Amino acid sequence: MTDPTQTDGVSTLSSSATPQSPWAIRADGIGKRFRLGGVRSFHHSLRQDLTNAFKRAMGDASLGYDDETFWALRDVSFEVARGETIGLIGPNGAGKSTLLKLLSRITLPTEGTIRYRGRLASLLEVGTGFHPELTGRENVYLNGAILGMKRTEIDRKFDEIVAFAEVEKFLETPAKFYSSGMYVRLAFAVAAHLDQEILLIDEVLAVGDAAFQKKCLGKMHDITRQGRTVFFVSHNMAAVQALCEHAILLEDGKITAEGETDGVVRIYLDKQIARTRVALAERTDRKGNGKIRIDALSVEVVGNEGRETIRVGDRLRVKLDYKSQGADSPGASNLRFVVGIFDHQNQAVFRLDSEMTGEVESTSPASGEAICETEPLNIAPGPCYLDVAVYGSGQLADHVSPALEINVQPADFYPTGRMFRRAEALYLLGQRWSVQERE
Amino acid sequence: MSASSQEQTVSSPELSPAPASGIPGASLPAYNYETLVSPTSAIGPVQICRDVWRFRELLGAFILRDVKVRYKQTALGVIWVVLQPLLAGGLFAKVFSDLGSLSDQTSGEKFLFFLAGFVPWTTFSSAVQLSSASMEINSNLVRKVYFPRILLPGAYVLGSVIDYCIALIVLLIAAAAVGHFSPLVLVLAPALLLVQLLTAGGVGLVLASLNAQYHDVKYAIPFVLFVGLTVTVFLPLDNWGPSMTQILSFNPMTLVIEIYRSVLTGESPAIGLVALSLRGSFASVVIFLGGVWFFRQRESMLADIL
Repeated sequence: MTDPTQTDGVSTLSSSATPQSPWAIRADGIGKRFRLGGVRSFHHSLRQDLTNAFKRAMGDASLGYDDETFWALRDVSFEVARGETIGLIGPNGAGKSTLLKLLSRITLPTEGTIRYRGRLASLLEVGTGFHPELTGRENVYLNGAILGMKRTEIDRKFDEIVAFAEVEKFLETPAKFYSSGMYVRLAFAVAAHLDQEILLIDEVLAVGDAAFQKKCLGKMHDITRQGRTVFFVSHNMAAVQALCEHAILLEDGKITAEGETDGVVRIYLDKQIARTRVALAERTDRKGNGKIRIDALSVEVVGNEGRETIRVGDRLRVKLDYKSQGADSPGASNLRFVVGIFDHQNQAVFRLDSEMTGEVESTSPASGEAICETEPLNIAPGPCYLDVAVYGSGQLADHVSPALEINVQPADFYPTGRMFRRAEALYLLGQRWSVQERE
Repeated sequence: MSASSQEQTVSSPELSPAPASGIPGASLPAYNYETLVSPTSAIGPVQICRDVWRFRELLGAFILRDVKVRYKQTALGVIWVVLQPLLAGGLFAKVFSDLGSLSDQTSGEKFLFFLAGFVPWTTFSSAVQLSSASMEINSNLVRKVYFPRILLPGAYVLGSVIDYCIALIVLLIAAAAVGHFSPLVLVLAPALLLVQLLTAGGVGLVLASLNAQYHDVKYAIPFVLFVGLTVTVFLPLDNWGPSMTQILSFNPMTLVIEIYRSVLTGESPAIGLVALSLRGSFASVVIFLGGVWFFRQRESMLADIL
């Protein structure tokens, strides 16, 4: 998936940036190593740590850390020219957040160096540091200070911030009584009025209603035209293409493409299609008695089979290639196919199960393809994970989890083109509204 | 992971003031200094002071936030600060009325004796508790924004000054009511406050960084504070044997409480106020510097483990 030939035809950053413009951010071979098992493995008890330390002291080398670590980023180098807006894209888990955290000094690299010129502000999440008990006014000052603004600066921009957020009437109201819309509007407004020369922005555009999002996008445009350097991370390809001249594609902790935004986005989306079909024959982390094996899983859009992406409201066609292990068996009996669909938090969202509809006949071919077509996909945009299982005569024969990741893209599910975010609602319900005068 | 080797260098000159301009966006950005982020670094005293100075406005904002929030969530507000030591002092004067050296004193003097212990102790104890929990309470901030982490526990400790001053006024009024007011308290209070802040800061910093990593710490803190309360407030130095007295005289909070008591009640501990002052203040400085050093060692990995 990190095929270097795919970067052909996309000019590299250094050659496409204006040669005489000096860099604002420069990363040299940075890498970040984490302990395996993620953050949680740190939360063991003091006793456990002391015991391990004691065992190590007694010469038990098996407790060394080296075999418990993995590199979230490795050997990443790039330069961002002064005044440039650069987009960072890549699948979940590619290391985008880690890179942003390194750039903003929240965590330090394990190797390599980062240099930047000027003051840097990071907006990794709008409203960081907002306190529900404090009033809107107090929160503007607190949030501004957290983001690195000076009090005099906030004083000067206060009216502008409040006007932008449209919360003039609620300045003396504690933020806990704010609607979620008011909350994010105020948070974005503070962030949008930062003065720093370098801004790191992560998905902040996804705030508020459609009208406010448009306003945010406009503000972002203004920011990029003020000669500031903006490092922009988003899953919204349209926003990246609208805002950024250049983009970096990060996959598995490495830069796999960089250059003109359109080219990099195309490479990224091309790889996404490749991911809607996955070979599973090589996977060893499977369960079941192995009498039947699933060799491949694919997902396509019914009625639009060639389309690159899966969108909200698409009908999916899920195909499973399976093979019975008894080579000369004439047919398999009582097969049951199950595909589980999980959201980004690993909550079960949907389940496709051939036994639920009773359409699979009691005798199936020994090897073949099971096909399931769904109704329109009514889940809010974002990643989904599929796992797959097959049962033969009531016994679990094969189970691969997770088998496939798909990234559901926004679409015109509702006639206005507006869309819920997962934080608001996971499922989408078709709806019609009317207002009547009271009798 | 070898997080302890991950520190940072900021090899930049002082932050230059933002270009002053009334028209937003009209000023050209200043790119006049460079920041280096690398795995190795200096965490020396100069760097700490520079970090804190550079982020002094944020420190102020945190103090303001903590103080405001503390009283916004309560019905009685500041009255709590007054009520707590008053009630505790009254209660313990009653409970411990027969305690050794106190038995020949009036009930007013007993009350004053305990109040002089509770006034510094309650503010010390709440400063330690809040600063210990500071990384956990603010984990969202620590994971999302860069600033010197020392500001969070630091803000809680400095915020306790306000409570301290209010409680001190109560103590002085109570002393005057009992007929033991001494203006000397006002002279000594700032120095005693400093000793207390250094101690709370040092202890809070160690516990804050440990608490981020080990959940055990959370359960140990109330117990440790209870032991501290018993040793410093309920059992003054004269209740101990000679060797324990020598050891306890290095407890800075013993210093603070014994001085208040001797100034207000006129009875000095046997070990002598000068020796006590020297040892206690020396210990408070050691605790503070040790706490800062310990915290700086772990600061850079906090965002990874929270």
